[in-house]
Amino acid sequence: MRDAAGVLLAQRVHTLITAAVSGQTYEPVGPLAIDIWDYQVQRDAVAARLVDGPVATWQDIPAVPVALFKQLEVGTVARDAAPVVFRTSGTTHTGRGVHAMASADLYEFNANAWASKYLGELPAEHVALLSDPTRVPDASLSHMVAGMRDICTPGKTTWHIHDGVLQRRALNERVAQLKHPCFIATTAFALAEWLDGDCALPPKDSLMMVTGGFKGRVHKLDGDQLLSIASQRLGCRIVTEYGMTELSSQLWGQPGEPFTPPPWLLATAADPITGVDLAPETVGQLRFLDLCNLDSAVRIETLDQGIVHADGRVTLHGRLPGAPARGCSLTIEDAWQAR
Amino acid sequence: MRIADVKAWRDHLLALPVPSSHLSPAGAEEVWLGALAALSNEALDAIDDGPAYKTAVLVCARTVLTAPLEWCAVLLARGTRVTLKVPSASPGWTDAMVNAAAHVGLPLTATTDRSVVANAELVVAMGTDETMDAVRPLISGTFIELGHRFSVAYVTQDWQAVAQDAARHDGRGCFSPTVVLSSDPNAIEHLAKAMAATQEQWPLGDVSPIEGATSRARGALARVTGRCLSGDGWSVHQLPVEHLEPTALPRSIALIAVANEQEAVDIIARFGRWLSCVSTDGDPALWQGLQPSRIVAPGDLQRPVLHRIHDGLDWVRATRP
Repeated sequence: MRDAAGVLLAQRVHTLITAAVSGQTYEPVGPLAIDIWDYQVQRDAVAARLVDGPVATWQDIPAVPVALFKQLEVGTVARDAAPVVFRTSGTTHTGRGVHAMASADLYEFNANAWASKYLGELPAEHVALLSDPTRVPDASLSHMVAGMRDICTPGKTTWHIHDGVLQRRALNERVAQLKHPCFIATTAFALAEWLDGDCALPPKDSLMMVTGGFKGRVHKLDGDQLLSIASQRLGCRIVTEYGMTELSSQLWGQPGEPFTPPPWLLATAADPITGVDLAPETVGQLRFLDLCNLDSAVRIETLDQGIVHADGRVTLHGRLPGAPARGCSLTIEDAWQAR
Repeated sequence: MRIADVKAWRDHLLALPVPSSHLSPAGAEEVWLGALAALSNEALDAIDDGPAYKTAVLVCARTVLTAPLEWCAVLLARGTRVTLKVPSASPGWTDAMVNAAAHVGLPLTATTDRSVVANAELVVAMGTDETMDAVRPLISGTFIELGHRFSVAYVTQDWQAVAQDAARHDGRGCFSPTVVLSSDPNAIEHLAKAMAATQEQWPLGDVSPIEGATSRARGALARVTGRCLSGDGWSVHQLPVEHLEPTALPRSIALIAVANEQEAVDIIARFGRWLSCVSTDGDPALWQGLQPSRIVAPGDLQRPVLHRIHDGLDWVRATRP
């Protein structure tokens, strides 16, 4: 699906990731990002129309607003012909954004590379409070978690959200049967719902990944409170993950700490009124440059706000005030409300 | 009837300095004086007498600061005790209204407590559909809902007038011309020039982060699918009709090119449920089928007279039991 230039760029990104996670010297991110942008401008009508003068540094690359992923075909691959399509969970009032890819190779490779680097060796048994990706193939988070099977010893991943509803009984039975530490992947809202009722205790030293916004339409608990309660009640080590459908790469963090992006994902915060990038340590609208967004938009602008620290880490403050809640947490929240 | 007290209240407000707000001083003065001018002696004298609610609550939105003025005037004139339920983070101009009422002995108070709606005989709520959903279950009395609406303009000549309509209240509120339709091939240039001139006259006030981000995102959409012209404090986004979303953004107009005014009517018909008012410098008769609350000339959208149909409602009569 990618032409020769695209294949070459994918190889360069692949090489950069390999070197970066193994501590070797790697190609500078900025020039490669500009090459990817130029590639996209030549093949994507959206990028071509957003060209706003010469791009001398990666900060000059226009950040494509995530809203455009709903309204237009963003990227070098037509949606109808794309082998891989991820869709946002959407909001109550809007449609779903589409992230189309020529291949999931960079998505899977970079996700696993950074997860391995950040998390270390994962337990073999995985329990996902997520939809089964064979049932919901356009759910990027489920796709990412399914792919994590490739970076651990053989075992099984079980899925415990069906049609947006937490399958509590099956989940508790599965957790109760585990003899060794497991990896639990969950959205914040699914975790909150699990904790609302009976929940089996995972084996000691289990690892739990929590992702997604929590301050949705129903539960108003602070995210830190949720993680604290989960840690105390379940006894798991908790890590946090920040990603979105429009990105191919993810950031990882510890509760109460900023998220750490991989070297191929560069964050900036912008003034939401003017769109001008702000200095580090300033609260602003988050933008990400993601080399793995080769087939879509190498730089995107979110509706989240936060601080980008001088070391590149990101403290997320949530949605811009007034922005509609969104994200994978809301899929289950919609079902919860419909009960 | 306490018409004389309401006139004294109005005169007291007119004598005050324009209260500060999220609008620029010049922008605030324009809408503050405009709203008070609508409370003319003639308009107030025309308020009908008759039975009145004992108590009323106005749930105020944070967008159009002058919106409660006329409702207060009519209800207070009939002797109704009025409470303004204001957003906690944005009390707006209610302090000035309440203090002036106290000065002339009118029963007007303000609170941020949402539960105040529970026992009122009449509740009038302005704001988003979400506000309506939140308030509705609490109410036991009569409820007048003034939820999400938008207005449009069809213009081929009066560019400055429509730009001024778009600038009043910084383009927020249901009377703002969210969408401008035009058959003039140079409409975007005309509008841009008028928006820039209006910015000189009434500078843009404060813009929230989400308003700014949403406006820039729509600008990007316009750059890809149409045209975008912008300057300090204003923007015009020319979009194809399939990307039309009637969203009010501060000093940002969505422009749709049409072949003629009838095509403009046909386009807006699909949003008819949410249509509030229309301004046109063409043929007003063409729009009557859509049953907008008002059809006015450009420049008059954001300057409503007191006695009118509002969201399909003869609101002055509706404030009587």
